[in-house]
Amino acid sequence: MLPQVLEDLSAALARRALSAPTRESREQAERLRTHVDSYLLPRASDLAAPLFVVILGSTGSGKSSLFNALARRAVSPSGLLRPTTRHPVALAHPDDSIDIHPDLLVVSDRAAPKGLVIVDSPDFDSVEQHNRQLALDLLEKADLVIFVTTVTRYADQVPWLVLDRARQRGVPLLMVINRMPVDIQDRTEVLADYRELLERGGLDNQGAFGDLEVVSVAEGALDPERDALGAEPISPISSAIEKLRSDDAARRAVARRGLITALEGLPGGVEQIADETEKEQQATAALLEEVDRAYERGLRKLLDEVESGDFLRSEVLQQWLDFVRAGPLARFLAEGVGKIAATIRNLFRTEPPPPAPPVREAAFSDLVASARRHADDAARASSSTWSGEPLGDRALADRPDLLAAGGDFDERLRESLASWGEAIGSEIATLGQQRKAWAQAASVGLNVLGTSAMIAVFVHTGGLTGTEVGIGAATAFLNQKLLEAIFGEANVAAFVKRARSRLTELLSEAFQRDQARFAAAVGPMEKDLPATLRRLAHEARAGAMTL
Amino acid sequence: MTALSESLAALAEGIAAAQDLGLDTTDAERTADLVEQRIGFAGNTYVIALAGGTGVGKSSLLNALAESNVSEVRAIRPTTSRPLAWVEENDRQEVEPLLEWVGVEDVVDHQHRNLADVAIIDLPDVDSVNLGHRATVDALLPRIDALYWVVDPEKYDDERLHGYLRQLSAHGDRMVFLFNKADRLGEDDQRLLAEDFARRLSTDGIGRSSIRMLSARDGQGVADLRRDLAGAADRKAAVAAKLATDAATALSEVASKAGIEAETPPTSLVEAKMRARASQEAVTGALAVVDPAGVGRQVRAAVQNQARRQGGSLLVRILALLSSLTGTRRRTADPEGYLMNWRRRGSLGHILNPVRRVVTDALAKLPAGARTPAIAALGMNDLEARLVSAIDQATRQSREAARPPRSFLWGLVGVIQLALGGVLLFAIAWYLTIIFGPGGIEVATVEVPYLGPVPVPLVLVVASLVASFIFGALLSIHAGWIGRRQARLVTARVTAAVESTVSDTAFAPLDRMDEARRRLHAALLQSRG
Repeated sequence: MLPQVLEDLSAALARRALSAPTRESREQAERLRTHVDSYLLPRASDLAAPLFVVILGSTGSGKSSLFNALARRAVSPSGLLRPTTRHPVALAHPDDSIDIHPDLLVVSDRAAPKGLVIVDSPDFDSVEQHNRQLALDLLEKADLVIFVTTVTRYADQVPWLVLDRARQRGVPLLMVINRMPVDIQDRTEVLADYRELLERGGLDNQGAFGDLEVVSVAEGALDPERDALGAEPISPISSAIEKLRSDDAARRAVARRGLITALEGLPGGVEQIADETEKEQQATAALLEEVDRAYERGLRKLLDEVESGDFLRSEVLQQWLDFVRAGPLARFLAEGVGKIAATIRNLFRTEPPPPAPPVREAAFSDLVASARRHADDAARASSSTWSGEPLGDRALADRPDLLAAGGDFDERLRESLASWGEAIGSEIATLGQQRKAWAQAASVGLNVLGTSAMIAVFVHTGGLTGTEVGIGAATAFLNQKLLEAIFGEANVAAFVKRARSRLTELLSEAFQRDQARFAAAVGPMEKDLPATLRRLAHEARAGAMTL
Repeated sequence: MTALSESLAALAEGIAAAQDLGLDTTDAERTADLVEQRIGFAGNTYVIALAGGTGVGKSSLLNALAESNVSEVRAIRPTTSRPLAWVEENDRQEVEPLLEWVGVEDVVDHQHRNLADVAIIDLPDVDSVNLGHRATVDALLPRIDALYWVVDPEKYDDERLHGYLRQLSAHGDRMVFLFNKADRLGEDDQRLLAEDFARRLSTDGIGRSSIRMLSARDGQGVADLRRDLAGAADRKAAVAAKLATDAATALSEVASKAGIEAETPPTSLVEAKMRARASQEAVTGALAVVDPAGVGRQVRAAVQNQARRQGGSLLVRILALLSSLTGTRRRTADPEGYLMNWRRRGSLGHILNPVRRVVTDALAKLPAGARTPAIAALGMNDLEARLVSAIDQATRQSREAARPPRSFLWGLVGVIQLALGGVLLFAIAWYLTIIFGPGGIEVATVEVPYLGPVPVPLVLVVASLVASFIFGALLSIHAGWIGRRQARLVTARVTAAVESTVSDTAFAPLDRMDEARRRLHAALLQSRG
């Protein structure tokens, strides 16, 4: 039950790390996951496994000297040059030395205490980035931390950040303050000051055996033979280790207490992450809403233009108008004698080829240009809003393409317009077959009729009578009369309505496609991740009761 | 021009250029202000500060230099929370305003005459849990003439320290590193540590570092340090060099924000070829919407109308009157209206899109932070409005030419046509009297004159009709000729106006931006000498 909950939690944290927007938030999730994977899971499944004791501290604080003192021989070289420990060493009894940590050099020693693995960790405050990472990982894995500081260091900020995490995860502590002044008064003063800091930091009762004891080691108290701290000053530490070695029950008690406090501390650690995730999701949702609004505005403007036919160049319309007036279609418009005259005229005139393909191409290109313009506006408005928000600004940094409509916007819209045009052609053909005038009309070419139908979708009369200003109205009027003559008034109205709604649909699809780039830039959003994290953390804490 | 004033001038130029690029220059301006303010302090005093982590011995070193208890030293950490200045007593009056500007209120004076002209500041730490200390130091650092970093064997490799040094590496030449607590080390170890530290400093970007091993506790190296401080050569020059570096650093930060590096002169954001193509496309798009040929057509029709109005026959006049009442005339021949209504004849997309495309490509070349400001600087946000008003202006300019001209000839033809109309009416009336005249009562018998075999009224009717037709045809030919000429003129004028304004309006901000980038680069080169 508990292991399953922890595994789920680990998986949820992994998902969080994957979608975290910043390095800090990703590291935070990964750190907690390391804690779950490397400590909680193995410890929850086996309380009797060897205790993982980590010596943690600043560079130059004397971790290796303490380690050597506990090992009773020079295992990890101490040294002058900072940072000294680049290859952290773990000391373990041969029976225990299995699969401890890939980055640790494991020294098997029959003389080492059984049931304990003691690790000399690298520092967390030198310029070596790798050291810091490893040290913090080891903190997450530790059953017991021996924290080493010095009289110069004890109030440094960086170690306190580490201690704060130690407090949060509730790991049992042993505390050493090294290089203490010889002067007894200074010494007392420093100890009192440090104790006060520990109390303020909420660490005073996190000792391995109850209250936290601070072991103070004086400057120069060294055992040069072993490259170690003197045995006498650190006797409280070595006796604690001895007790854990010899007393199975005590060791189990420490392991158990560590696990329980860790599980109890879990909701606190998870809460931060869940909270941050939630805030990010809200911010992301707000950003996407802005994008939504911008694109909606753009689409509405485009549809307005389509509605009024304003987007078509007049030269295109003029070309079509001239053709409808005088071309082979003119006879459908004429009546009575005029009809006969037009038919006769047509017999003697050689017509230029109807301008259907160029007009259609030009109309599409006008529509694409207009759509691109409004999509561009929407993208620019969205990205300008985004650049004012840290989350959006980060997303934009990698995606300069979001400053305008997508590179393939035109191409894809043109494609869907082409298939829309084809659909109109075939619909016209089906519609025409039931009409008397079809045979005559079809002789002019399906292409021409399709283009005429398309133009009827783009510019329509909407109650105009043909005498109004503008070429658009004139074209709409004549074109519509032509279609009505061939297909009948009701049919044309129904057809135009259908084609128009399909056009609206494909335009809004194009806008949605373009808009989706913004959602992709901020990554997928798992809406219930914060709730899942919180629930699992609370279940894990409840699991502590069963231990 | 001194190096300092040259650096300052370069910085000012760089700031102006960066502002043209739409970049935020607050930091650089603050630096420029600080440099100016520091120059404003007369006197020879040089302000140095002891900086470093808590517990490395900044205060102890100051006390060792002073050979007295100037700054409190304690075992508990951190000790020093307020910066404290140590100055020679005769200097105090002169130095106090400077120290106040730096941000130091606590001043202790001394009688070491050889340390006149040097104010030594003991700073709070930069690494303790007391974050206020760090904030105090951060506020002071830019105003200090030279930094003496104090380290010890325990803390010389701390990330916190090296984080500062990496940032301040431009001032590396003037920095001194005081390696305290050397008394704890043997001679070999001292050398080893100094080498290790120098290595680390060089990865921070401080190649030639001056490291002194010393000890505040046993006095090693303290006398040497005091001597050096006393004998520092030209303090004014050192201050000037520091300020010049400040200005140069601020400038290169601004330049790097804009993506400008000294080594590579900035190229034009949009390649000339791409730009020419985009400009051509935009112009074509604009012309398609404005439709100068259409304007020409309208002009031709309008000229015909005008000619007919002036010189048309009676019949034509009546028809013209009717068509103007129904509004048909406006539809076929209103060149001005057609010209001014260009916005309703096609999408602006054809004009905007090519321009935006090249600009978007150009933006991708800029650093991420410079893109949004560049959009504004490039006028992308109001491109549409600017283009529309530019084309509006271009069409307005051509409006005069689109008005149909009048002609004296047409008026003359009009008079003639009227006369012919009169003749025609007279002849018709004559006929009517003959046919429907009072047949019964013979008032008088008037012989109908004959011209040859044809009666004169008929001659008059035919002649006036033929003449009217000929004059009408002549009028139409003349008007057609005038109209074509006028139409050509208008078409050419509109085309030219649109061509020149569209390209200028769309790309002028780009030119300004290229210019600003070149200026920024020139300033950068100038500041590097």
